[in-house]
Amino acid sequence: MKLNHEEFVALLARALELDEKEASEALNTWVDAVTREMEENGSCEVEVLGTFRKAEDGSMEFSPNDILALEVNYKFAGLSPIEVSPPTSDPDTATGGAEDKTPTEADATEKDEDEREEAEADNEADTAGEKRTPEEESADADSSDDPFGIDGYRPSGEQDEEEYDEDGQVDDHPEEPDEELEPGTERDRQRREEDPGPEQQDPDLESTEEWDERREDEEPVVGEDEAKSEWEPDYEPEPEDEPDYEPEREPEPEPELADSEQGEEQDRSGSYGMPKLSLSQKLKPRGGASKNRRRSVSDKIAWLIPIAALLIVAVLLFFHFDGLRLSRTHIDDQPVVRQEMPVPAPRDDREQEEAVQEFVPSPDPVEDVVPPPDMDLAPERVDDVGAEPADDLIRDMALPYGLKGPEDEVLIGSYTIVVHSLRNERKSEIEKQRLEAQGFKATQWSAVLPSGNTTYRVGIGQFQSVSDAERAVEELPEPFRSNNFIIRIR
Amino acid sequence: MTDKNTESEIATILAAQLKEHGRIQINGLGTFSVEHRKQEQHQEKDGRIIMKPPADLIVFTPEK
Repeated sequence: MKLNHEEFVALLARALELDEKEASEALNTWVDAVTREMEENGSCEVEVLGTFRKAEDGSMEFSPNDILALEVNYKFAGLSPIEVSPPTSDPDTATGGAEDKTPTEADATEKDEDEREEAEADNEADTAGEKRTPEEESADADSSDDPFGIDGYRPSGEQDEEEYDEDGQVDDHPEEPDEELEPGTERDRQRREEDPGPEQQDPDLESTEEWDERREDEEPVVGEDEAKSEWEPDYEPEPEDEPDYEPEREPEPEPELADSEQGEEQDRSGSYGMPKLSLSQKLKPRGGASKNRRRSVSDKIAWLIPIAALLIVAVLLFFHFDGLRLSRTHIDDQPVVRQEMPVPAPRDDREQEEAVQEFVPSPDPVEDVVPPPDMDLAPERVDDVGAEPADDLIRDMALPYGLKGPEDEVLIGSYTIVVHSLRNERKSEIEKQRLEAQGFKATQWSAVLPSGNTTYRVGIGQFQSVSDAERAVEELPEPFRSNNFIIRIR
Repeated sequence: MTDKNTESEIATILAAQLKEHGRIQINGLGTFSVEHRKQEQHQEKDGRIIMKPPADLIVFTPEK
């Protein structure tokens, strides 16, 4: 229906109860006001109608009001885009394809359309039809994250982001080691600060401290070298509590004594870098209580080392043999359990199948142990194992796909061709019956639009894929062939 | 600015005509119409192919 300026003025005059001249003046005034406001502010919004904007090239653009756009598009309201093929692994190639197929302007328009359709679909999702309502079901699946209503085909990037967002624990975990590490580093720092020198690394700390104190008091000059000599218990002679033995021992290492004395002299003169301790130094009678104490300390260490080693060996042996004993017990117990368990050991599929087949008819008392669900599962597994591609084909052929034939079963997830979208239920029912009379699989359902209006849609055929549906469209008679749309049944 | 009542009536008439998929020409402003966009496939940047549903869209052609 076309309405030129004069006809529009006539309608306006009738609505405003004015004569046509006054209505024309009023219309011109309104047009001038809109144009002026757009020039001044860049845009002018008119309620119910939409917004006029000044484009970059100076021309006028118009964006219709959302409600108006929806009402105009009532036939297709609630329809969501259908994903025909999932995202490719190589986005670069895909981008190239996109550039080839769609111009940028078309993309922008389509994005706007998408948003509008999504909004429609979301609203429509609240209302339900009695029969199948594909647009409703597609709207159910619509969400801000999944605008196309296809759960399994989200882009990997989005999926990853969500996974990371949801997986808060994954993000939190790296912080835990940090928290654990920080005290550790503090501890290390404290240790480093407290650590006075390498001497404290010795296991016998108390005796060392005692010794250090006394050494400082008694032998301030050669203390370090001698202190080191104290930590070589292997070279220590017998306890010298009785000084009578000492003169007897002195002559024994005489050659070494001479050497070591020479060495000492060399050390003092600075000819060697590191002072070397000799047995003579250790054997040299120094006398006094401090020496006795040193020896008692070294004796303790000499005794402690083999004891500790024995203890470690004993503990290791204990655990070793205990573990063996336990595992042996466990292994011994296993056969009893296995006898009660009828489940065959894991084998390859064929063996499993044979085992199941053998197992099912056997009147063995073990059967009683088998819970009935397992028995039910066994044949299924056998079927799966033995399924041939031909079986799948036969099963697919048995499904009620196609353009013609009785509509025995509505296949959720399949596609259908909508050929009627009517506001009158009776008319849609008549159209459905007419299509059925022509041999088509025809289905009628209702869809409540966001505006509250109900539209009745009639679809024909059920198809496994969009391409199947598109091929079927080519077979349709006019006017359906040129005026239809494909939707997914949800 | 023009009378609000006038603007409201103009908008109401225009909207009613557009809902009927009419074409309205207003001198000094332009032409409003409804165009049908067929369903079409296009490829997204991530490689998936999307078939967009058909739609009836309001189109405004400004007067030159």
